[in-house]
Amino acid sequence: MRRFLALLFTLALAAAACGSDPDEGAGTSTGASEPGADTSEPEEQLDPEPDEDNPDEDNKVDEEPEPEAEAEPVADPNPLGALRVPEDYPTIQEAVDAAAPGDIVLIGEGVYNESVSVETDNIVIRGVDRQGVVLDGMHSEDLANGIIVFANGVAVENLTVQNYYSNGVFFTGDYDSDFLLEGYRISHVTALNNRKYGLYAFNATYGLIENSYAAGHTDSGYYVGQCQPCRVLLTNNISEYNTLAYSGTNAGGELYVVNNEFRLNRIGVTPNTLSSEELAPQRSGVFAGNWIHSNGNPETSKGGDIWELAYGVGMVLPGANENLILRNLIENNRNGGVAISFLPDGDILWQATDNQIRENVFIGNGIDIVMVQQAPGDGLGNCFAGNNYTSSRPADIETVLPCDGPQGDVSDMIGIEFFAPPAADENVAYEDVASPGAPDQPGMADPLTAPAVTADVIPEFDTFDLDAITVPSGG
Amino acid sequence: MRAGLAIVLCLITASCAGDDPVGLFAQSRVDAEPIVESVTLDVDSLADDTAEPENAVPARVEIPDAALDETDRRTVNIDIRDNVFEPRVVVVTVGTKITWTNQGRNEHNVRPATDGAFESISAAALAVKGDSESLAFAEPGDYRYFCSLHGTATNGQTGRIIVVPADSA
Repeated sequence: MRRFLALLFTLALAAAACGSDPDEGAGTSTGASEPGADTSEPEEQLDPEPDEDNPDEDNKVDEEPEPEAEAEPVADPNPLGALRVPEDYPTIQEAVDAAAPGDIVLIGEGVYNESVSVETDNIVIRGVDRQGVVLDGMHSEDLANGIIVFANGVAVENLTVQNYYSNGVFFTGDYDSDFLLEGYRISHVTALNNRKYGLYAFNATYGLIENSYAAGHTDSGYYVGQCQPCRVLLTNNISEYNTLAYSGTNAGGELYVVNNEFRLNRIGVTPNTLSSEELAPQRSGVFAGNWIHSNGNPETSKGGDIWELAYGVGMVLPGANENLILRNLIENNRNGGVAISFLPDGDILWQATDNQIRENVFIGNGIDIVMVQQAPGDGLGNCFAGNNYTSSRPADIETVLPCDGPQGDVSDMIGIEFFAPPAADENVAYEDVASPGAPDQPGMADPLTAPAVTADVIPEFDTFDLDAITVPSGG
Repeated sequence: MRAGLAIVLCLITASCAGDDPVGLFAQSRVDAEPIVESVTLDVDSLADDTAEPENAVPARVEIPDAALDETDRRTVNIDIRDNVFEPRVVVVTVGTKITWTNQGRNEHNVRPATDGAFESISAAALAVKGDSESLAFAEPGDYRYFCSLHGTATNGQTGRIIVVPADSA
């Protein structure tokens, strides 16, 4: 099993690196049965009631038996042995509460106005249809999270979570009680118009978030917070029409954000540091092979004021440290491609240090690369090499802040209020934000028969091959 | 481990009338440095009208090691960070004003783990950093609460206020 997720991990990377359909790969490509395949024992056949219209049939006991080959095959309606909703349990919560480790909860098509809490380790929660199974919070504070998970090894897949007062799917440990959640997976999940985050992992490690879609959130579509090391991979996801495409506060260490598409958000990708969570400062993430484009979308919801400073920037690193930004395609972002900045946080100014920006392709951004002045005349170890870009502040940034040589004159850095803010009317209530890509998101293959794979197997992140990552081709 | 270091207060469950969070502290045991030196209550003054069962079984309320003794204060502040209440467990006397202040980036709320134990504080009232709301507890009891945005009654962002009679501080 350990090898299984490692293989899954590798396949997901390889598929995206080769430019294949991002949905062909992890999560569904291994071990899934063909539709309708029945590998379980056939159900026991009950003696039929006597047929009064054909009494001779009742005398067949003494006659030659019919050849077995002519018997009609009986399809197993539940080949996974799943706890089915609503067939076996009227609500998702009741099925989850009844599940034991290793079980799968299979949710039928319908709209479920529930907030599901998971406290059992190593279960799978799966919808039979990604668009047809909808958990809907109706924007009620009483239904804060679509699915909140306090247990290890849980997987959520192939469903939609929308209109929750707080978050769509939320995996959370508990720092104060020393519970670090270990093992989680989100696959083929659509998160729409939840008030805060779409897909959210907090104080959790050993995670995989893949083939998912998030739109319409007032913070980020994807959020990984308070983990060091995180040991998480986000891959083949789409984030659009959110305030932030991805946010990772105080999250780093074996954190790989690879081969995703972050488009049409207010702001793009933001690893950051804040004192409101433990484990500050953020450090040591890898952001590679992503297509980060067209951010600066006014048809989004305004989040906190601080983020408006980075409006229209594809990737901003406020107070972020020791990250590798590698081989991304960063194009057509309204105000900027990549910005490195401090983050004002009350009385603290979190500095961004020692980030490496390498081998990215920048096209058509307001300005491709900028360094906010954090300390006069000091680049604080941030460096740039091998990028294809046309504009920067300071000018010729790869010469003045090289990765393999002495720092040059960086007096031309910018102030934190460099970027033009959005107009006052560039703000849409989160309930009304569009999600144009949602209908097109493919579901997992064979949800009725694909074996349940829990998230209790720890991926081998130390085998991650950065050389396999290439700059995406874009549209 | 915590049990060994904790003060254990005996709570006569029969007096709690089911979900009533107000407990009757009948005795105390001190295993370590006391947080609350002694707790005695006039049972008759606190018991509700329901007849107490003859064989009432005492339940023990443990005060965790991390509990903060604030019994000498009339106002107590609880910071709400992402996603934790700090301090998580406080011991106060009846009537102490408890103020929750959002110090995080996220919205939070305060809800009693037992419905109706006290009035909830909505997320709208604690929406942004600096927002605060206050409550005072008029009766002794073990008041557990949580933020429903980041937890449940028993998991995640939870907190606890143990209210003791004023004369026990």
